[in-house]
Amino acid sequence: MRDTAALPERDAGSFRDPNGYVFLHAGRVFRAVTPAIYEQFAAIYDSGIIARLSDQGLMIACTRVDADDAMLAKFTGPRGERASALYEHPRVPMLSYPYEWTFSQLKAAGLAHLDLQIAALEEGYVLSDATAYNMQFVDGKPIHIDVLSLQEYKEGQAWSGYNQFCRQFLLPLLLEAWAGVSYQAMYRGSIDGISFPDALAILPKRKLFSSLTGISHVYLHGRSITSASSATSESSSRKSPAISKTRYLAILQQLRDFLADLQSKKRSETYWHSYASKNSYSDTMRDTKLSFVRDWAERVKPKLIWDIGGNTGDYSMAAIEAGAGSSIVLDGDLDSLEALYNTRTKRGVPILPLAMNLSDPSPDLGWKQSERKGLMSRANSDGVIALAVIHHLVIGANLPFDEVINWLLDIAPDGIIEFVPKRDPMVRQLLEMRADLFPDYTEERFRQLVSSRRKIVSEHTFDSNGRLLVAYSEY
Amino acid sequence: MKQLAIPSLCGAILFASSATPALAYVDPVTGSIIIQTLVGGLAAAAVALRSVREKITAPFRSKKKDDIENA
Repeated sequence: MRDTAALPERDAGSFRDPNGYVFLHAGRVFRAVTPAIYEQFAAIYDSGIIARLSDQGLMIACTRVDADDAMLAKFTGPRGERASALYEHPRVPMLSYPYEWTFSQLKAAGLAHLDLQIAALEEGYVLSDATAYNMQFVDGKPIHIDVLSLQEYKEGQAWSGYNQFCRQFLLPLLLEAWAGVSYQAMYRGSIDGISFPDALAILPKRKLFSSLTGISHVYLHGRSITSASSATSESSSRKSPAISKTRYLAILQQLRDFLADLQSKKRSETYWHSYASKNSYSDTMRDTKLSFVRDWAERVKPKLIWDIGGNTGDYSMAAIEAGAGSSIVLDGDLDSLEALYNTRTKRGVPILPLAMNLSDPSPDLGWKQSERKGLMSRANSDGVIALAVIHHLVIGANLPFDEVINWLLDIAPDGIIEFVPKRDPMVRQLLEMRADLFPDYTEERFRQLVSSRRKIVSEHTFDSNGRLLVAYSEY
Repeated sequence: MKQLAIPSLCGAILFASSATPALAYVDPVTGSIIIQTLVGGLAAAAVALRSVREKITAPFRSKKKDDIENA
């Protein structure tokens, strides 16, 4: 590996596992393996299991890198560990977190995790944990990104990630499936996932005690964790019981069967089949906007777009058809994002929906507030589209107009913003029940703000109320 | 395995006979590991039952599919 002057930067979220750490270096992603696990991991790598799981689309690709001692010395862990070996992974285009995923996305990630565990166990390997943060969407599909979680199976060992799987996949999914509760806000407030006491308090007893999953994985499991009798010194010194491989595999398989059939209480599969037809209206305004987006994408050819308030992804789709690489749709409406995921992402369209309240985007979270990155820390797009959204932020959410426009301009060098004037019926509706506290919300001020930092390349006023589309580039 | 009469009954009995709300907190992993002998047994029974059910219903399901395809 060629040496470069800059020191590798350890990913701020990579610190818990002392066996290895993820580093970014010269635009590449490396995993440094520490002496503690060097030999065991080398044996796992040489067995070819990682390559086989990667070929099945279950685990991220991993390649050993030739690195001399001088290079290895640069990859030092947070506890002072020196790297013994380096491996390289392809870069995940956009890190996302379970509290940003819809029901269908979290379910897909849970199923992919169980598929990986089952495939690994059948070859004599297990995963040391089951954190949902190790699942990332690549080309629309969830894959596991932490190869160091893979360990050799030892006869009689239990599933060490069972608790984590339940808290980070099963319980949030059950909140929505059985209680109709959207889990995203709770999940964001609790980085380790939904707690058993909270889930037991919320989930309907009728549902809980009428299924094997409710009884075993939620009730009995929850009771075993919080049981007063378990706290005695006698039980805490008790030796872990041996679990047969058959039972280990049965837990994984039964959970997989259960999750595969699980439906959101809010929406059914058939809902999505009819959703597209219900919403596929076509009018002049929509066609004009689609055409403007296509022209922009053809000219700029952005590799990655952030589609702010992108709803079901219609404009992202138009941009991709015209030459954009892929898109991240950020929207607070879970129904639209579910429709987008089920009708496009799942079918291979490179659009990733992420649940995001735009006036309160994901913050930096976790240890030292850098374990999970906030939305803007992950800004990596070269194009942004913000159609019919700024009036919701400025008038609907009382955000300062200047700050909203500057925030959008900060996201990417190129983009399109739609200005919706006060005389538009949608804005009039927003202002109907409240005082107009927005004297600066004018087309003139909008133009000033955009042109102070970007060159307006094209613009189009497209209805009688004065809706304006502006495409801009860097000066 | 959505509905199971026997586990439902077990659950009802467990629920009815459960002691006062748990107050103590122990390492979550410990409880999760210990419970796996029981949960694993229940899961193994459920997977076996599903497999038997699928074997029994398979001929009817494929016949139904053929009927639809030939219709």
